Amino acid sequence: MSRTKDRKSKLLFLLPGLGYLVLLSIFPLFFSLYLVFCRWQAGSGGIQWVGLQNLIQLVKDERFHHALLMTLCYILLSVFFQMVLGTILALLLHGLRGRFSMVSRVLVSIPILLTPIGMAHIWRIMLDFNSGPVNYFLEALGLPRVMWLGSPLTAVFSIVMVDVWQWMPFVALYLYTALESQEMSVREAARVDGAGGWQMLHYIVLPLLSPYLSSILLLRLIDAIKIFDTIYILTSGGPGSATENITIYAYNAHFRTFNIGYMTAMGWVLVLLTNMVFMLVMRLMRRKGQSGKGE
Amino acid sequence: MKRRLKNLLLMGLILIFVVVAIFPVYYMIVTSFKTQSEVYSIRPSLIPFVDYQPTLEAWRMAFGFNKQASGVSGQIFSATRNSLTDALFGALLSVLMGSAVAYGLTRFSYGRIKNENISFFILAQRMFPPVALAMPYYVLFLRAGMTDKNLTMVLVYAAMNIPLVTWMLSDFFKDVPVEIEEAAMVDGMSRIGIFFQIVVPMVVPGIFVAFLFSFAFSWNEFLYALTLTFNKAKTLPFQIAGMVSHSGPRYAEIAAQATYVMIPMLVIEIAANKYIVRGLSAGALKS
Repeated sequence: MSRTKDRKSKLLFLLPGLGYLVLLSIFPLFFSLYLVFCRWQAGSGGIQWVGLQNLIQLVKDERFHHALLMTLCYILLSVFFQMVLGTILALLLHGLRGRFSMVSRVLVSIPILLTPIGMAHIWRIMLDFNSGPVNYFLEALGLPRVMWLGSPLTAVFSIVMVDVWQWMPFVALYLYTALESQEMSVREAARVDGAGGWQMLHYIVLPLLSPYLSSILLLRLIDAIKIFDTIYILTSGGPGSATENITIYAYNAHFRTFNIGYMTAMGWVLVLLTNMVFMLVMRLMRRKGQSGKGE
Repeated sequence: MKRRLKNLLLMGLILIFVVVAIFPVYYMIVTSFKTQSEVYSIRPSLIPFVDYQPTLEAWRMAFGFNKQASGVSGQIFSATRNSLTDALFGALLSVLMGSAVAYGLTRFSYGRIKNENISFFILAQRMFPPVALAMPYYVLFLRAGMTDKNLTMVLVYAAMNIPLVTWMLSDFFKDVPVEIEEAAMVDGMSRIGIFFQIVVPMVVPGIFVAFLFSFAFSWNEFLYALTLTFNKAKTLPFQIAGMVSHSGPRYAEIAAQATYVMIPMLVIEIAANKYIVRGLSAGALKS
């Protein structure tokens, strides 16, 4: 088949989509890099070049430091629980199979696509101190009622809980799919060799799963940097500014009232954070791949 | 016997996950049929008709069919219209461009730039934190006089979903046998003609699924809507997010609106359940 003949038409497939992305993603991103060095308030004339002023302010701003810390805290806590619980659920579903497992898979996947704003509202209702079912169940179990959204520590925990609730099923389903696609022969051989349940898990299943684990880990870490809707509804960053991550802080303090350049600077901190996470996980994956070969 | 016991244990453990996953959804639906006072009872009523008498009061309030309803509630209709418009046309646009890109990447090689690098470039768009784009969008669209417009949201959502569509459709295109296309080319058909008349009809299910997921992500999107719309073009999530400040904790009404916004999502979830993993793992790089 002559490939040269469609040189023109092959560009026709690619260019509209790529051009569109350049126009609506790449260009705005670079424009925002320019905004980092500017001051601009809605309704107040033009964009004003201020040099490093926004960045200096960022370094000095203690509320921003706290927000950065909280961003990391949400990423670590939320992803940790998603990964652990997701792996457990995937192994359970894989171990059982059959119709029960299939129906459970469909039911468990329900939270994934539900509108986060709506779900956060429902969790607020469920976590209500007086009338919420969560405290009611706790009391029924003989435990004390908890001010879920009232104190900084429990509020952070609640936000993490809701995020884990929504995303853990996705981790589970992803890993389940990976488990199902694995080479069965390897495991059959191990079983014939007399490997027990835990041995199988430790020496066969988890190593085979590990590329998928790092892959989903990367995806979830990057998404956890962006958590916004849940915090916005559950606490809007409160009490005080205790539960603010960077995105929430940027919106709470600066949108429409303050310097957009400063918000953009915060956005770029997140872009850098995303890149760092990406590089870190990629390096981890590569190293693991090498040591895996050496064993 | 031992195997039976093991299965029973597995079922029990899975059941715990299932209950935790669906209880909030159940509680949302149940709460939307409660009266305003029922919502605040210390012992939360869980089963309609047994624990409490269900009513449509909250639903009427949510849609503004009630005199007590706050002025804001009536806006749910215009918010619905906006959300539908944005998500529908955003998805159409992203499927149109994304499917072409996916086809190009599975059928041709683009010389010095490797196809993997092009797909990485496209998927990388998905990784950026939206707040980093929301700000320049705000400044640019404000200056162009395009804030608070459905068209703007359609453009933004299309860009947001092109990576997803490309990712999902690449698989479907790979499954179409190249021989059919080659035969058509021998018959003198152009590439564009082959794409629209032969390939697209063969991957209709894939295109439909990609469309559904694009629709879902735009429908649920909040941050861009919060930044770029304020009034006329407000979307449903934005409208519902305002419920707390506007009307206090009217839980039944909030639950009714939340149920309402999630109905299409529940439908998509059940219709396209098989594809959820694929749809959401755009960006997961298998090593």
